[in-house]
Amino acid sequence: MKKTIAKRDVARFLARLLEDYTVYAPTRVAEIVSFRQIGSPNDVDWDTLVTRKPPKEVFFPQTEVLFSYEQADGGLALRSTEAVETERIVWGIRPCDVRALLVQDRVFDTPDARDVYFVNKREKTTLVGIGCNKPLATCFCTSLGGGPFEKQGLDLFLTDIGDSYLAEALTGRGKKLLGEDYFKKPTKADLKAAQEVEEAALARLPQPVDTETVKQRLDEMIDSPFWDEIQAVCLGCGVCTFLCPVCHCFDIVDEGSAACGQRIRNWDTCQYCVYTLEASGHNPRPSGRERVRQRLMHKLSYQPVTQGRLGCVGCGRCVQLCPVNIDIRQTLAELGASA
Amino acid sequence: MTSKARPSATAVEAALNPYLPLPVRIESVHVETDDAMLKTFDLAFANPGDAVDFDFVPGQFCEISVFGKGEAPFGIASSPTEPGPLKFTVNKAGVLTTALHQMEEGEVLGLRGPLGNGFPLDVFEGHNLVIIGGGFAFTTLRSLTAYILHGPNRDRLKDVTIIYGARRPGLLLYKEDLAAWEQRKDISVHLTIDSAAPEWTKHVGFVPDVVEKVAPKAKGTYAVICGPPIMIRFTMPKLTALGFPPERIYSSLERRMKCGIGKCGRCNIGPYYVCKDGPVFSYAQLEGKPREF
Repeated sequence: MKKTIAKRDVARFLARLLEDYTVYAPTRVAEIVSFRQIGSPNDVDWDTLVTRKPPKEVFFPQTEVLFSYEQADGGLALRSTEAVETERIVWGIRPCDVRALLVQDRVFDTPDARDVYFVNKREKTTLVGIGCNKPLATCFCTSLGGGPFEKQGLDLFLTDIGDSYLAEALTGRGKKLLGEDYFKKPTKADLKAAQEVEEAALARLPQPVDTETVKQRLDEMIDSPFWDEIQAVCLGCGVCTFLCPVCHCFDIVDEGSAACGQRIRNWDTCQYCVYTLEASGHNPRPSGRERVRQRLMHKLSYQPVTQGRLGCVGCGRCVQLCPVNIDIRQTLAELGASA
Repeated sequence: MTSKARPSATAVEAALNPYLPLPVRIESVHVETDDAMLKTFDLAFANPGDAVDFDFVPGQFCEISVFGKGEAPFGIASSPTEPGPLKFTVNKAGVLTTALHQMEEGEVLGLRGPLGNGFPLDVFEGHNLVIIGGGFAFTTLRSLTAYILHGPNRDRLKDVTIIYGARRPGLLLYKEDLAAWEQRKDISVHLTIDSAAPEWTKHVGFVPDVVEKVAPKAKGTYAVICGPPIMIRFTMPKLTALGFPPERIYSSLERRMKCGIGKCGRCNIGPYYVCKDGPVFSYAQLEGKPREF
């Protein structure tokens, strides 16, 4: 089902949604744009295409209390925090970040162990996505099978066609949103305009990479000097993993005493030495060589096996923000090139 | 009381939330080694009904919570055939294990598990088995041995050989169990220490050399090997020379872990997670993977 909404009506529509939903949208705070809960439509940043922090934090916060504990009179009381009360909307999520969530779904929601903290938030959330009319120079979703107007995983998809958005409902949840009065039947011109922006965006993006070849080559490169070359420049800062929309690794720590406290999980990164350091002093990934190898192989070789999907969606955050300009696109180009 | 046999409300909640530990009480603490660096903790469920649903196989592990310090993985050292509390033998190494070593009978810990795959007993069935252990890596091997030697389980295997080494006699774990196993006719036990010690009448020398001397013929035999990396590094070539193919050599791997359920990411070896796809792997599975173990 496709309808249009005039841009001047979007603020009122969002205000209407705020009555029933907790709404997360891109917001700018201290020059950092990321998905935060909004209190009013005025909070939304409409201009940023790739937010600094990915929207994964709506479902998998950087820091999250798993439960609190209290010991008294020889008993142990746990209070878990996985319940999600209100229905949520993530507004303005980009196709690459949705694709990343679909990978995380396959990590956190498996038949043998459901991560209820992640799953409960996902189940309560309607995803309103927006297409990318003007992809950035660092965007490469199309290299990896994605696209600036890919709709998989979304409930409602918006295409910016000038003075209005073309809105396509993809699920029952999306349809429900289209039921509001602000939406009108699209004209032929609206549909044509949407098609034109999509074609223009695609023209700006790179060609697909042969990711199967990349995987095969990586699997034969475990002891290759290739990793030394990357390690030589890598600072091990971890920004590529913290800000990656797919990366899901976390640490679990207790804060408090034996008597009472909280068990907390925090984002963690395979790029740090302590990540795999054991209490004995043994470290199975002792140098940057093993750590840069882990990052790239996890995304491009292991996740296609374990999750059935690549661990990279081409959002370009790691390319934008790496302090020493390590560029995963270069790796893909080198390894994906035909022999 | 019938209510005793029922899982507690916490256990019902934990069945839906894999991060919630169940309360267990330290029933007894036993110092295993003469340097007191290894202690065995007998842990009983605080709610007896929680034990009912706790079904495990040798080789599985649990995440143990020391509240305020966090959680760490430990192999289950008792056998599912042994009634009563679960046994965990803990080396004092870091913050959590140091705190655990200071705890006493009656204190409460948290427990999540059983986790991981365990030893493939159905694969071993009908074959000879040689169990090779070194240092304090004998915990789940104790579980495996006790399980095999329990009642009719012994008939599922042909010859069973144990080769277990420590630097000196005082560092061998489970001395009472070892003494009892040595008395049995249906298992051969070879204990070794690194260099001669007074009153020691058994093997002297490193595990790889004892393996070379006493291991059963490779044909029809599976090997299970757990020990420090250096022992494994030197024993593997001996097993290969004896004719053991990688698919008949199993090991239980250790890695730093957090979640224990394949989410937190840190314990992978190639596409495998040690916590969920292991900790028990055959060497055939590990071929061609980064040697991050």
